[in-house]
Amino acid sequence: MKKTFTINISGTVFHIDDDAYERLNNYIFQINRHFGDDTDAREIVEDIESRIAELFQERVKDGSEVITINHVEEIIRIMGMPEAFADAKDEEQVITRVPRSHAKKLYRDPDDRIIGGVCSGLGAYFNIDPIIFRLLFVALFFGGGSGLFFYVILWIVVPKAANTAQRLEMKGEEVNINNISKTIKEEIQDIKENYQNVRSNKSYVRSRERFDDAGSVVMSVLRAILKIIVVFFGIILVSIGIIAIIALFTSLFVSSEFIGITPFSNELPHYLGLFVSDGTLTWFWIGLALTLGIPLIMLAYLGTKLIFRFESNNPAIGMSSLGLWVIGIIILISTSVRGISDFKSVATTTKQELVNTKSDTLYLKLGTDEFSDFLDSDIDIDGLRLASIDGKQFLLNKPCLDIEKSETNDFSIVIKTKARGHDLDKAQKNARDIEYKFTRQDSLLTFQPWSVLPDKSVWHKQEIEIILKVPENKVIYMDDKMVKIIHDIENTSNMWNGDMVEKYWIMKPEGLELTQKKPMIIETSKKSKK
Amino acid sequence: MFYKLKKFLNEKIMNLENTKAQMRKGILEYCILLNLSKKPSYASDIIAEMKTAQMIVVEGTLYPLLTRLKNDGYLGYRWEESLQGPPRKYYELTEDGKLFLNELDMAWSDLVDAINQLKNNNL
Repeated sequence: MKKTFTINISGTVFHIDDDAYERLNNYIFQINRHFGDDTDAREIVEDIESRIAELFQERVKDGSEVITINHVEEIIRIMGMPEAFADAKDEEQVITRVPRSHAKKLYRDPDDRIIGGVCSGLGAYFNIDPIIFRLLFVALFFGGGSGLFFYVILWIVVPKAANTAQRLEMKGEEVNINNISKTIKEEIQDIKENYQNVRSNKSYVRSRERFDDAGSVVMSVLRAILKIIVVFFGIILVSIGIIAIIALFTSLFVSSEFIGITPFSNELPHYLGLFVSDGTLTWFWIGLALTLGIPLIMLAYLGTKLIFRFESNNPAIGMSSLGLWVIGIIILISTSVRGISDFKSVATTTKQELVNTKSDTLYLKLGTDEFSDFLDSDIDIDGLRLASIDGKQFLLNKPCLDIEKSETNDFSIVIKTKARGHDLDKAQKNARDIEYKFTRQDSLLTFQPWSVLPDKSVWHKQEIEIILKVPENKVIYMDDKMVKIIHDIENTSNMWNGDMVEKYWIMKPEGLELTQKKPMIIETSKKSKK
Repeated sequence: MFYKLKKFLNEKIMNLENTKAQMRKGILEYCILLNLSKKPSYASDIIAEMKTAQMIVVEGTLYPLLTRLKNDGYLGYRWEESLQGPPRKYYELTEDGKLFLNELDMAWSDLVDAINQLKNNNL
């Protein structure tokens, strides 16, 4: 029992066995391939088909008989294989057209073209997606314009795959890992043979063949060079990909000084931990690892494809990596949004403290800066600094001192802290968490140069403002270190901050005024006023 | 030893066949035109005649040739209904074709003369 098909050859209907159909189909395909696909070829093939129909008709007279494999074989014997069709004028062409077992030729692909089919031809030749070459040409075009030049050259030089045979040659035999070495060996053998042919032909004076052979030596050398370049390029891609992946994951998760060429400073995880809370941070890492890691993995994958010239028929690889990449980006965006929303609300706290002193003069001094030798020079965000002492990290906030006129007759100090948070409650908590200390010994006020943020707290745009309220006709004196924290103090002399230290200043109704000797003048001025 | 001899003979036969095929191919065009100069005919008739004259081995050879001659303007064709099946292409010589055939006739006579002369000289 056999399955049969009903087919229509040149307008006549036949019943044909399954295997006979296969054979016939294959034969007609070979004929098609032999003649190509121009109008002449179609006419020839049509004529041949109608002759085949006629021959079948002679063999199955009553129309109910089925065409068997034997019929088909007989017809093929009568019609002959396409290679035997050669008509005298086509002879030479046909001989060159007989394809070598795995000769792959560079053609322009007219079926998959955007401009001239150069890139799709290259893609078919190297067995990689033509988009790579397209991107390369576009990149070269915008990066110096050489892309256009090369493209036009290739367009002119590379022939178009005009018929089916050439199209098959263009795609060539699939190359897998097992026969790379074989192919390379053959390539070298080819070069040797061609070279030897040239040498042996030297006895012939300027024969045409010699030129041809010389040409093919050049071509095979070029081909080999091209292959080596592609493999080399692949190796580079793989190396870059792998190194970058290692570097990325090292810098993200291990954070040692393993590799210096990381896209970030290798302290990044530590730094980021100071700005983003732990939960957000974990997601941020996952998102970042995906968005940066996936393209790198794909780079390495592409490299291996270039080296081994294999075709992956598995769309799952591309789709799943694309999916993961998109997920990575979504995670990154959502964590960023969450991170930003941590700064949505702002809150301020104010503490006021009277300074009870008999003295008319306050001496302002900056406490010793125990962090000055440990500050991280890379980080300074709105006065926020980072210091590491014995592996322990401190987030430091620089206070900002201003001097104003007091409404009362007493000195007083106002400490304003300000911070941001996800909502008002959190912002207020963050503001309250800021601790700032100063000490007083009689008329000597010592300010700490830094406010250390409590452990586990992260940056929320904390700010500390110290306002020293000075009553009228009282004097202050700042030591030279104070320049570090004072900020834009208004004074009648319009003196710059840096020059205000180590001087005596008296509070007048108009504001701070420079004064020479402290007690005497204060006394006299007091007296004079009264 | 025997194998080598067999191989040698095979090669000789192959060479002979090849040369004969080349000769046939060279004059096949001429033969077709001669055939069509008598009366218009369709491809299968031409094939039948060529086969009896042992000019072609496989039928497929004829079709590219007919198409080329037609494209060169030496042949024309018309469709004729057939009793047994689909309409058939009947080929016939054009005026150009007739002139071309005359040229070929002369060339053939020259060739035959040349060959005969060579043969006689050799004898």
